[in-house]
Amino acid sequence: MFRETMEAQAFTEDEAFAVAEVDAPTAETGEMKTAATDIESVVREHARFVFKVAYSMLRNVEDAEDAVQETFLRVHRSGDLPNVRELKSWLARIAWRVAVNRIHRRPKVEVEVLTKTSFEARAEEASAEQLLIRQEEAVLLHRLIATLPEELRHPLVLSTVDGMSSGEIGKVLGIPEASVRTRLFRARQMLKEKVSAWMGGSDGPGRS
Amino acid sequence: MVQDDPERKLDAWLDEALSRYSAAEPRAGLERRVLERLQTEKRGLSRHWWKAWAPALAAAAALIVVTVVVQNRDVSPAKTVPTEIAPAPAAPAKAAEEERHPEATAMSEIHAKPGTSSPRNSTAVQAPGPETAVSALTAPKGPGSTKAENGGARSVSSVVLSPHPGSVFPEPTPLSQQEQLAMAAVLSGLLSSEQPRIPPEDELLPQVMIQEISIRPLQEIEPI
Repeated sequence: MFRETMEAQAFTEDEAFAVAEVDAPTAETGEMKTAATDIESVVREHARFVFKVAYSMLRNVEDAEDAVQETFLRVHRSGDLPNVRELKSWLARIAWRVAVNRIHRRPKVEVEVLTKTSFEARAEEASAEQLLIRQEEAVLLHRLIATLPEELRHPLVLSTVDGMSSGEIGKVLGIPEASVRTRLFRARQMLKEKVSAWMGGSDGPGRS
Repeated sequence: MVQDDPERKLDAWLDEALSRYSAAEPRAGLERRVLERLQTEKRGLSRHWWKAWAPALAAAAALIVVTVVVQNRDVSPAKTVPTEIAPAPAAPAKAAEEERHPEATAMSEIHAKPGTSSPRNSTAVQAPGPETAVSALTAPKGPGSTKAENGGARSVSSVVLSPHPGSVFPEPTPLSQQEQLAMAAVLSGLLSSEQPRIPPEDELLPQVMIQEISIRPLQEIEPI
């Protein structure tokens, strides 16, 4: 059973540096525990993942990259790197906290502006029409997710990050894995209801 | 079943949309930029490590300076000024003594040996009578004590005073021989029965004739 030193609800910046303790016999399987002591190797290995965690909250590439820099700066200053066992969860938690703080500090930006910036960074879209459709869908989804309560929104947003399991989401948010799954189910149900209600007034999302 | 199709389609759409929700990629070179930033941080910390200690060092230096200043102020040497505290209280006591025994005081001074301390010296005023506050302050007591015998050290005891300039009394200087003779002459004149002849005012001042002032009445001025 994963055991955090502090509760997720009382999350502070200092708590982000809490060393995640894991009971060795019951540690989650499938995750490589790396006693990473070299910050350079950690950066090269996890920078992209940290970026995706930050981007899922910030919805802007530049802000997410700044959050990545700030995350690794904090990791370097804390000096706890050699003592961390579950490095990926630890980094995700710091990045999440940095992103949340940045959102509170920055002025509100239009969803369309955020989404347009993110789509410009992607080069794998086949055609302009597809790019436009994806862009509209992203804007719609973002608006729908924003209407969810925070306790459902945060697990849903983290679940969109490639490579994050429900257990890791629970470690980031400080809640049990079972709670993460329950909240994800409830969030999806609410989104489907909202989309159904919206589809009732149009032909559907991104479909002409 | 029919109802499951829209539901399934919606689930599929939602899964696809959520999978693309955080699918953005960072710009090229993110790792390099992060490492450069970390190296700058390390260099900055090693170069300016002393800045973290600067406030503490400044406070310690200020504390040392304050301590030294306070200690120097406390250990300032106490100035021992041989002075006559007695003159002030002795003056009324001396006056009282002279009133009671003016003749004895004068005679003792007249018949004192040359170099004897003057009346200004508290030790000389050792008239028979009640002890005065002066004698309490004097070290060597007795009428025979002379200035010369006392030497440079006054018969008054050294009293430690605060180094305030206003409270330091000048050392009494002994009367010279001429001063002593003059004093004797004055005293002998006072004691003599003959009254000093005071010339009348007429002899002292020449007479000044002052003419009477007469004021004539104004003459009438004829109008033009």
